[in-house]
Amino acid sequence: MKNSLRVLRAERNWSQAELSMRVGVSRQAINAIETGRYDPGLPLAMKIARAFERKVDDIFELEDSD
Amino acid sequence: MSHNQKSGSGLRLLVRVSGTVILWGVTYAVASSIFSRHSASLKLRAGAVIIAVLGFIPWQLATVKLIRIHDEFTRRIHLIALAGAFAATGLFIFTTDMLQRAGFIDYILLRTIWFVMLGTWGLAILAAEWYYRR
Repeated sequence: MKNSLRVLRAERNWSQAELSMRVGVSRQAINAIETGRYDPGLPLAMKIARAFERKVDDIFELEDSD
Repeated sequence: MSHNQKSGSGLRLLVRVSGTVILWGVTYAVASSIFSRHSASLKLRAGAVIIAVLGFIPWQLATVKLIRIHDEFTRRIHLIALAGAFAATGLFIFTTDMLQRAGFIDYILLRTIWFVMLGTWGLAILAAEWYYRR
């Protein structure tokens, strides 16, 4: 699964730490999602979408390999 | 729950886990002492077993609580680490069983299996953290 977390974060000038505070997870979790090593569960994906005021589909996208 | 509140309750829980480790150590030492000094008394030995087991359970419960307080990412790391520890311990038990049946070793202490499980659990946590957090 690919995501546009890094781009959306950069648009808002948010650090990983700031996003992690907004969605209530560790900074390492945000880093792991951004680098594609970890796919978040639905509640966290929805929290992230809410933080960016986007839909989950706008941020996370299934790849052919998924 | 805010980040600060989470950190505070996490710290309290960590202190509680440390307390349960001490309790576990003390009850284990007491039970071991009873086994060696009063090995003839059935009641004392049974009591020592109960003391040791009751001293062990709080650590397990506190560890579960400590894992559950974290976010889903950290819980995933612990899940993978526990799966790794389970697989490694299973492999160790199976291998030693085969070695024993083949006559290469006499027997192994159950304590050894326990230490292997704890050790591989710790190593698996470090490995999972390294993979996800690098």
